[in-house]
Amino acid sequence: MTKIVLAAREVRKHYGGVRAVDGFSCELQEGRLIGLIGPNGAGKSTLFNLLSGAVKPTSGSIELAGEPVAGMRPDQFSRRGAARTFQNIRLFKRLTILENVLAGFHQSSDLSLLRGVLGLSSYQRGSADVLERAGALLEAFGLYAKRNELAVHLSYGDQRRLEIARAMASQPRLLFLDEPAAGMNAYEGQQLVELIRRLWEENTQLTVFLIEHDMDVVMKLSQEIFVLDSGRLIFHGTPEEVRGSDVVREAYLGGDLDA
Amino acid sequence: MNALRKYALPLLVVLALLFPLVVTNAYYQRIGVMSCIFAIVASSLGLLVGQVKLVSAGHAAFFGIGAYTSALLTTKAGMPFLVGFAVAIVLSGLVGFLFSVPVLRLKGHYLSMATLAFGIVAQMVMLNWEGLTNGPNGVPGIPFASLFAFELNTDVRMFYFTFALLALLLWGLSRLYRSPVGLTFQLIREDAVAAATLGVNVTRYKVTAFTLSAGIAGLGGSLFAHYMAYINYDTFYPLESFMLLAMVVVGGMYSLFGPVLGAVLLTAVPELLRGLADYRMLIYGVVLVSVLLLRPQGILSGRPKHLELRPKEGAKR
Amino acid sequence: MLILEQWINGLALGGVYALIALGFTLIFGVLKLFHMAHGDVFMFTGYIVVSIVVFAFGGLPFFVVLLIAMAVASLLGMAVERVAFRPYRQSDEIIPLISGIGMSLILQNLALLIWGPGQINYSFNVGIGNVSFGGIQITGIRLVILAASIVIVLIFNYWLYRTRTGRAVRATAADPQTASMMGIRPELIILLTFGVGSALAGAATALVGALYGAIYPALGFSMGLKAFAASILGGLGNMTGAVVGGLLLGVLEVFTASYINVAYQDAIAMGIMILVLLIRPNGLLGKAVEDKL
Repeated sequence: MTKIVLAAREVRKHYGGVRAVDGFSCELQEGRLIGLIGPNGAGKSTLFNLLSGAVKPTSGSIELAGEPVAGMRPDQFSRRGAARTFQNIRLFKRLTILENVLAGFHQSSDLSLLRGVLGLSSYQRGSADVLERAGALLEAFGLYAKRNELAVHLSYGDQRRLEIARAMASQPRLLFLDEPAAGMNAYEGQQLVELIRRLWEENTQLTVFLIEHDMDVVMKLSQEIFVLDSGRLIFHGTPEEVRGSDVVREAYLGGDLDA
Repeated sequence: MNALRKYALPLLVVLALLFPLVVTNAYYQRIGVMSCIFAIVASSLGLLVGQVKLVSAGHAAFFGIGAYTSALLTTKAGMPFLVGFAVAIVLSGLVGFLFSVPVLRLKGHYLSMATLAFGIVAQMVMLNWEGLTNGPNGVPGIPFASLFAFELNTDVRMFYFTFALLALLLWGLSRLYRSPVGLTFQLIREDAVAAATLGVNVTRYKVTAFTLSAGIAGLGGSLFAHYMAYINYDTFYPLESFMLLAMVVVGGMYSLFGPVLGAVLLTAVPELLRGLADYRMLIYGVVLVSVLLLRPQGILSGRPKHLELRPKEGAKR
Repeated sequence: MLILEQWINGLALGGVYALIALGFTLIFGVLKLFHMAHGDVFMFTGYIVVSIVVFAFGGLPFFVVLLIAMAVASLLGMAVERVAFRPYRQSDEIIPLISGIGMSLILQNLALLIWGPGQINYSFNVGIGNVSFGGIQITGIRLVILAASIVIVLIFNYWLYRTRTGRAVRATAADPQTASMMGIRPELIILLTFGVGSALAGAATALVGALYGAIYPALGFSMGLKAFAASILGGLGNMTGAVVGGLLLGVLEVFTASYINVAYQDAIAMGIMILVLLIRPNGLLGKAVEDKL
């Protein structure tokens, strides 16, 4: 039997009278590559914020690896294996590429705050292997040569990749990618798809959950797809099933599936 | 240029060590001591503002708590200096901790307002709790600082003592800023939300920074009290907090030495231009506004030296 | 009967706080900026008005003094905006905060150099004597202050909610990008906001002048603090909140002074501010707003 990484039951998020997410339930299995689609304003990003702990739900339960986490802080979600990227990239702009990735290793290097303050822990000693692992990760993402540049100076595509690298550094069991290919040209997008697939294949236990507007990308990557509309789950199935679904077609009416 | 950078620090240290030997004028030596003390306090604020982006607009309160603690323990309770000094650090750190735990939930401007209000309340306590602080009369007759039997009863001795403490502090801070903890501070400064999603317990780190900073400010306060021999509430008014902020921003808040430079400049220059004594505070204001306009990152714009990974032997490119 | 007198005194003082707080909160609403020199604009205006009105002309009718004060404050406020805040629209929010502190130091110490450190005493003639009815005595000045505050707040309200420019200001406060797409020029609106917000402080200058007849350089800082406290009490960016907060603060201060101790008057204001920040950071009238990403 496969393990359930994340289980959500009747998760709701209301902003005033607006029901951004209105009762979402799902079970995500370990090692899957899962897509989340839906028309604009369907509540996809809000759902990601809820499931990754950035925003607290109005009601409903969320379990990460069997442990109830709804209402906890984002860092507690992170400690239980969740990691994410943001739709509007949020890098540490005035820090270097290397430091951005080291940020992802926070949990491995953050052994004791007191020791750190007293100057008893440093990247050179004790947690030295963190530096090495960060270097390896940068190489895997093709960012090693630029490691000492400030994040703010990176190209758009590199920023997206760095954000994923940073998330991977925290060794997540569940990785949320919020429109990873947004704003990229076809070639960059293609490369990114390859990168995500490679990441996922190399980390057999990693579950990837991604929002993507580009239907080609989602259909190519995902093993299963959740379709959201007006804050509700309207369909769940394989890419083929989604393609054939009238409900989904209906939701996108006015827009189009190829958009 | 590189050579200059490499030798700048040792050169500065040597110059500073020679300073009280070459400059024998007591007035200038006094400025030297005050510069060191304010460099310590400004550095404590630099840790908050430049590393974690917590703008405390009431830092004079912690400076004052340190000064009063040390002054009262040595005068009223007859404790030796070192005890007063240690308790000053611990107590102002503790007050900083107790204040920061509830207040650090606030962000940006709201936090600044809360710290400003705290500074004002703290000064009112110094003024009105007459039984403890002598109220408006202040605390006179504070003994010299002393290291056991060795009294720091001259400007020269006090200069070396404060300078040594400043050097020690900067050494510690430079290690801290480059450590995993320092990096975490900077993550919070850059984007607290993103930091939290990577597992950073933001509040815990902010409280740590605040406690540490308040303790260091208290250390500066203790030195100040024992050097001046007399303190009253008037030194710890809200404008003093603003001047500390000015030192940090003018010198360069992201840099380790920025607050030090700012403290030395804003302490020494107005004193040296004695003819302009009346314009002192005006100069502070003008310098603050114009430095922001011309160099928003301050005079020293560098940041703590990067962590570097050297290219590995045979590493693929 | 004493209680009733104190209520009126408190409300008069509160009316003045409300005017300053209203300007402060308006500026915050539009720019999301703490105008740290707002109180100093108030103070500096006071000196200019006293110099012009009392020493140069003397005997001007009070409402002329009021208008002059509003005009002076308005110009001063716009000048401060250009120098201290305009350059930092894109900067981190702490930069304009600190720049405002710099501006506050400049204004305070300019006043100190020009007019000296001591207190200057003067009097504005408001043209109404003391009023007494049913055994209570109220100075005419307090009545004028109350009436003037009410009228000014009503006019301000009309301007903000019923006129085209007022709507433009609110649109800019709510969503600068959309507002500018609709043809509103944000820079103009910001300047206007500072003009109007500072004019409110200027009105307060004239009224406080009539009440106390005294001015000194540090007055601006302490008035600024009252404005921060009143705005936070009512909820930052909330106009009604600023008025309610100001009135509440005025009444509280008068009662503290008469029943507890004058020395704690300011400490109470600050203490309340900390408390409100901790318990209801969005103010007594503010709605709980959740952070969005």
